[in-house]
Amino acid sequence: MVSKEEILEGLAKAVIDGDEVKSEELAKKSIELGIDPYEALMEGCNKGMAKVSDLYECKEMFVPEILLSADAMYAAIDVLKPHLKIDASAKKPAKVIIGVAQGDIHDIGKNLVKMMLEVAGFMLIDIGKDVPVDTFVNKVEEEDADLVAISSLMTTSMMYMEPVIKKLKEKNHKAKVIVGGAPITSDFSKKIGAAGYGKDAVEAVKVAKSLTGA
Amino acid sequence: MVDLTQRERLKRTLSGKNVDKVPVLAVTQTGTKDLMNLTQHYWPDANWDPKALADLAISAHREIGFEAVRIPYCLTVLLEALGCEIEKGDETRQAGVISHPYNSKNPIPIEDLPEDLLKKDRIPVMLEAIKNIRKEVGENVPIIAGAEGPVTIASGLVEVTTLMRWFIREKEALVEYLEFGKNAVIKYANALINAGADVFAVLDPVASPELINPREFDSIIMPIYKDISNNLKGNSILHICGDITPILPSIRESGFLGLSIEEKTDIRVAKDILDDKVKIIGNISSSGTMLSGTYNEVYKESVEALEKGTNVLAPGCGLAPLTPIKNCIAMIDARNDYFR
Repeated sequence: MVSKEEILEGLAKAVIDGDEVKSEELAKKSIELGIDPYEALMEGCNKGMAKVSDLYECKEMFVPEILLSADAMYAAIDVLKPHLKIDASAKKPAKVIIGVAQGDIHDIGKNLVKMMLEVAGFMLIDIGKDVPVDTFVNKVEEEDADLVAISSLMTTSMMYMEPVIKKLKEKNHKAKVIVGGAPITSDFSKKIGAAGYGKDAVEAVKVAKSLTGA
Repeated sequence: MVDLTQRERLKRTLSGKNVDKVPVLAVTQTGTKDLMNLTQHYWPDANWDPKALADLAISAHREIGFEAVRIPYCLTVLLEALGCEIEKGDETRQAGVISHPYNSKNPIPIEDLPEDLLKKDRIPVMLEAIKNIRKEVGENVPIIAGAEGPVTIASGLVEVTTLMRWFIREKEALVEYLEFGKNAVIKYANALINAGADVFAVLDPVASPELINPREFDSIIMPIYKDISNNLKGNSILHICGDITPILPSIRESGFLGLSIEEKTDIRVAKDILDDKVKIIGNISSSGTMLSGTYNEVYKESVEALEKGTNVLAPGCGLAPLTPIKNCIAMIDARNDYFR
């Protein structure tokens, strides 16, 4: 008989190792053993993913490893999710609209940031790649989002970030805009009036947390 | 020193011989809106017509003063010929790859290179454009042709996140695809060199340590690069985006004559590590200073790059289409004043 601790540790390890077969199996086992799925999620998957993000930050893990860890995490989440009870009294998570700026079809960075933000407890609405300015603005209003994360990998599409910021300011919307991507710098983000900039996915989470007080 | 032609100066620089001054040029894309307006040749059509392609490229030499003519304007020519669908883009948007014919979690075996590769899609356009350029600019101006490198080819064929997973799960297939990309690059590059290109630039953004572990770069990608540099019949250089400091020791042994770097990689650090075995090309910020800075800012950054010892003064990456022409001219002025 395995203990709860062993299951949770195993889950974290499966996520770190990027072993989606193992993580799914352990998630199922945790349900069978009656472990609180929220605990399995937080103390298993998320703990593993936090370690992954540390290892990425100190350049011991790279994008291939992170993608496999994410696969393992989502495999476990798929099992756990139907069993999660919705806690009405819990504080609502901050809502983030995320997408790749117009003219850009590269979404690997956006997907990494999305995943890290989800793990950090944000509620993500992914509006994809090559997203027109107005789609960003409309979606923010429709969802009453707290944060907008825009990514761009090309110098040709980074110029579509500023109009999103301007339009949201004109509308006095509370949503704050954070930006990132290969050609983006902290200077550029300040120039266009963004509320924050992350040089990588880990930094994006830190910025998002500080802006939302999460 | 007797006056060198621009072509001699670049060739001498890359082979480590003395030169009178550092060449100033671009090894990455040069099509800007200003130049399109001047030549009346616009993207996306200029990517498909050998005369327009040549004229727009030549304008970066004649109107800005870059000491080379560089083609093309995108990273899709080889990938299109290998079966990827292309989104043509528009005046300010580069053409891009939108479909990945080999995207599969379980690798699809990849066949041999198409026999008629050099006749496919835009490859004849490039070959024709090079001949046009040579006719127009004569023998004294170097022609630089670039194309996507093997890792970028593999990522176009199978999709980047799939390829990333293969780095861990499907190493055998990964190497098979990289070999395929390598063979495509060698065949295409040698055809361009035969048509008159002086320098071939392998552009491989997906090989950046911002994505891939430097250890894997060393063990998997380097042997492929060595084969490419060994098999090209002309001068070959490499461009990889991002901060590539961790892979500089490997690149030193790659056999490429030059390395094009972005501003995220420091010239002094690169120079120390490359130890003159591979010449440094760069690294004026194309997404920052050149696109949205002033003439003076570009000028200052250019002088700094020269002081740090860049071997070829060049933009760090492809020019953003909205880069003002005066910001490009600032690089030329800075170089000229520096060597006055």
